[in-house]
Amino acid sequence: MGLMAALILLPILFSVGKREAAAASQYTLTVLNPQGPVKKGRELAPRLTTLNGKKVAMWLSATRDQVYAGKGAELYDLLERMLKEKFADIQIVPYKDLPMKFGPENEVVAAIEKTKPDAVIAALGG
Amino acid sequence: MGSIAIALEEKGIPTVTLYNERHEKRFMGTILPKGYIDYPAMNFEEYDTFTSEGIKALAPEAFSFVVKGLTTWKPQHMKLAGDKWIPKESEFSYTAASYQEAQARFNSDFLKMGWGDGLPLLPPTRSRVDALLKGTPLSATTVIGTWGPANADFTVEKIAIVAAMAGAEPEYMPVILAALKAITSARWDAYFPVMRAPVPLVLVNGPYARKIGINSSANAFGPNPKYHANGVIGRAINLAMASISGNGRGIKPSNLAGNPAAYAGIVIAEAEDIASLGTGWDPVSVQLGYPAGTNLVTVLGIEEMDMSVAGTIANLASCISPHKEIWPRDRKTWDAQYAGALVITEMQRVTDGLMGSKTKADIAKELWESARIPMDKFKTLILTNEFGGPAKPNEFIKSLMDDPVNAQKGMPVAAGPNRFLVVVTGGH
Repeated sequence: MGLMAALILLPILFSVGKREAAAASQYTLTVLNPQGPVKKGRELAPRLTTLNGKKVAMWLSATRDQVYAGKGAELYDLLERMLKEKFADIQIVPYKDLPMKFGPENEVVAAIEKTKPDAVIAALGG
Repeated sequence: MGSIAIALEEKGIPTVTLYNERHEKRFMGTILPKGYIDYPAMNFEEYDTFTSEGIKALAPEAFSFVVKGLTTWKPQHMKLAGDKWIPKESEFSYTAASYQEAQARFNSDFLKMGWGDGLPLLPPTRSRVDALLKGTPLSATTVIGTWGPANADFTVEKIAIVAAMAGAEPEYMPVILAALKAITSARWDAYFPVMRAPVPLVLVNGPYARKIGINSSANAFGPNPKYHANGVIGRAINLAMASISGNGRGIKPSNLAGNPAAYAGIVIAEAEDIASLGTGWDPVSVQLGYPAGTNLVTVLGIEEMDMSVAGTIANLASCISPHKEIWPRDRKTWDAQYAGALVITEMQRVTDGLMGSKTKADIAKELWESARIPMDKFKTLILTNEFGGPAKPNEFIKSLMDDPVNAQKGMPVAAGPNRFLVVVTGGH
């Protein structure tokens, strides 16, 4: 009996020992977040529930020949196609119908607002 | 773009913005100071946007971002708690097969968040931060200032976290806190990190500097194994400016060539107890009106450094190049603003023929008189806008230009000789 008990116990002890060894091989380092708290300020406009059936204006803030615009116009061409594929009833105000500049600010805002968009995409530069 | 996007948001129109990397600092620097905690903006690597192939590769990610930004978007890193936005996670855990691997993961993660400078960070564990908090009598929740693009609270605990990342000792905390109190008392300027790369020069006066090992002797601006607090304190201050204030955005590299002092800062102590310093060589603390022996931390925003080993004051003056972006716009600022610091080593001070019997005030006056800009060059600088077009001077700047002495001698870079700090350090 004594021998059998020892034989049964040994594998159990061995197994426990293995589990402890596995646990010991894991190291957890916990560090604190350095970000500072910020007083609550303004909130952005409410987001839309879907883009389907909505009018989305694409404002390109620079003309094609300005270096900081990059290939923004080409990006808009691709985005327009992808948006129309995904949202069948979306309406797009193309960048060509909006001022391709970032100032005077009030003129640009008024021109975008005049198209009565539900949402606006701004891109590349300015 | 940022102000236009926000103008539309304020009219109730949701917006999303895609921009080149170089515009991010100005863009978010426009939006966050208006009181918004975050904004759906996607930042492209600039060169990826210069080719049709690059644009095609970016388009799927941009499309997903646009849809999310206009529909389900929420602030990325912060959550509301009462009247404050606080970090979504108060701590981060990294589990790995070894301590070294866990530390590497922590470093990699913090770099991605913009909270690192590329040099190894030490882990800001609870016990390490608690040890640093013992270095100050202030409570952990004390706010020493609000600053940065998001006007974040610089609490003592957050500063201790960053100080732990930099490898600071508890006794460095009073200097780090004092420097950050000075820095956060100045207005944060969104334009600074875009076109310029200022770094704080932190000057420490008083016996505490020597007590904690801030170098004022040989190689004061560089490493000195005997006095090694300078670099660690400077790094803690730089990391604090980037990570506490950044609202999850962290370090934003300058668009220009940057400044090597953005790594370990520029922290020096003044050599106050050198026998050869006689009358007229009071330390900066005394010049600023404090009793001799006062422990004082003075901070100046430094953009350019000239490390001449030897030379004339006139040579040094020619290195002072004013920037129209920071040129004072009113007399009050003009009268209060310091133009820079002239650091002199004790070795130069005692060398006959170089400084002779001059006092600090004599040297400051000579520097001020020499550092004038010819009026035609000043007009070219100030009367041109950032796009190369004409700009009109305001009444104050016009009055400086119309001053007959300035017209004849050139525009001074400061209101008077006392707008330069003259500091003695190093070289002994």
